[in-house]
Amino acid sequence: MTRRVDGILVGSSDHLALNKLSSVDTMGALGGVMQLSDQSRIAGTADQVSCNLDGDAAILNLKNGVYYGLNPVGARLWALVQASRTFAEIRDTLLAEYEVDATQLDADLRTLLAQLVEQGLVEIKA
Amino acid sequence: MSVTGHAVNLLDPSGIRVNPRGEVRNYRVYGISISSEIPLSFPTEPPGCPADVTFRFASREWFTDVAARLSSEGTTNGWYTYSRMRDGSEFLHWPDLFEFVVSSDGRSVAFGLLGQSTAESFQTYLLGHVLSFALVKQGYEPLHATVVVVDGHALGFLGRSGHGKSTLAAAFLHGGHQVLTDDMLLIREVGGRLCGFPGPPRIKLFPDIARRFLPSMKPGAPMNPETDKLVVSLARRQVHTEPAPMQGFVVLDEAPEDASHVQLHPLSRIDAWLEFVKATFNTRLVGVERLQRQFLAVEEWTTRIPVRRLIYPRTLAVLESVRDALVVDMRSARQLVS
Repeated sequence: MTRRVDGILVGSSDHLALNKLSSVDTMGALGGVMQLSDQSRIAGTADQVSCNLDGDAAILNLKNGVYYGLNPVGARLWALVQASRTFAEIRDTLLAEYEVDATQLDADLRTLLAQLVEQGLVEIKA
Repeated sequence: MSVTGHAVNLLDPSGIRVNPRGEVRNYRVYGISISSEIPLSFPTEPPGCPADVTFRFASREWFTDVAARLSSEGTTNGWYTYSRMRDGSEFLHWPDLFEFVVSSDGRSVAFGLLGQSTAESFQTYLLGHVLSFALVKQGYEPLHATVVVVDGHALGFLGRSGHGKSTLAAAFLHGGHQVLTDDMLLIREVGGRLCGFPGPPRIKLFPDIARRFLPSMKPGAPMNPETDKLVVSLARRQVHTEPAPMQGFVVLDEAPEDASHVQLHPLSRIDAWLEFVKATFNTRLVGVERLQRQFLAVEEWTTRIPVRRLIYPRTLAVLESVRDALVVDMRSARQLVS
């Protein structure tokens, strides 16, 4: 069964609107912009705090006051990001833990990481 | 009996007035001590430890000087203007009504009176919106919530303005229960339990709601010129004056059109987290330290206080049934625990 890795974008404390970004909506806008190899190391930025909420994850960008929520799959990705793993390590870990098509996972992962980079929550080191 | 109020000039000798000799009175609200140069509509306390917040009168000339020193024009939110001053104080201005400066450490609030305003309206904004700045600056995290108390345990109502929190609370008053606070809630740990602290002894209701559920109460005063909502003072027996352990929260949302009965749906922790974030009382102070503190507070609340979504047909006729269902639910839950 294919599962999508997507995130839920929550508005800032000033504008508490809930928007969901699907990986399909953002793929066209963000695909190809981010340079990502298997050896790229992914890490959370210093300007965020996060917590695990029974499998989901909540993240706050301290620079712009925007809150984010991740579903359990996204939260698992976030936990791996917090451990500063490489892209290949993250991809291979998720592949082992979830019943998902490898090609679909790779695409979903790149999309979600691009969203997280764009939101200032994650940085990528070549 | 008509439920109406009348405007009283706060400096009118026949009404409430600031004491010209600068005498202060001491109060306790939300669990904090206040020293005030203007009388507030609830019992005073004997002087004791230094106040957490002082309310002091400032002249029009003083505020004019403050406005001249503002670094920017300020942002307007509907019908009030907010500006951050260079020293970290906050200037809040309701045209033709009142204005305030909250000091950078949150320990002092200067107030000025600009025209005709009811004492109740002035206190509503002073003890709600304005005080929230002082509370946040002192490290507290106020929530936008209305809370009732059943058998000594608190049930909080979350939801956007206009979604019926105060109306539902009025139904609880009608049933002989008490209100802990209306509009702003402070949660603090007491004896290992998260407790809600009592707010000002009043509730804000539309006239028809007040007539229906509080028919014997004194007529309320208008909250502000832009709304029909009244500020209704509560009797001593209607107010829970001690901290009460938070047994839970329910979120009042717009009901689906086909809602035919009372429903309570548990929220996941992340959905509960979202509801607490949406219920942030003060969304103006967004420095890094405050955001971090709020994040941790919300995480703790979602861990220790259950939150559920309340759905019911949105007619006044069913509110007493909603109240009764919630009371039964609260009592059943406590029996299960014990």
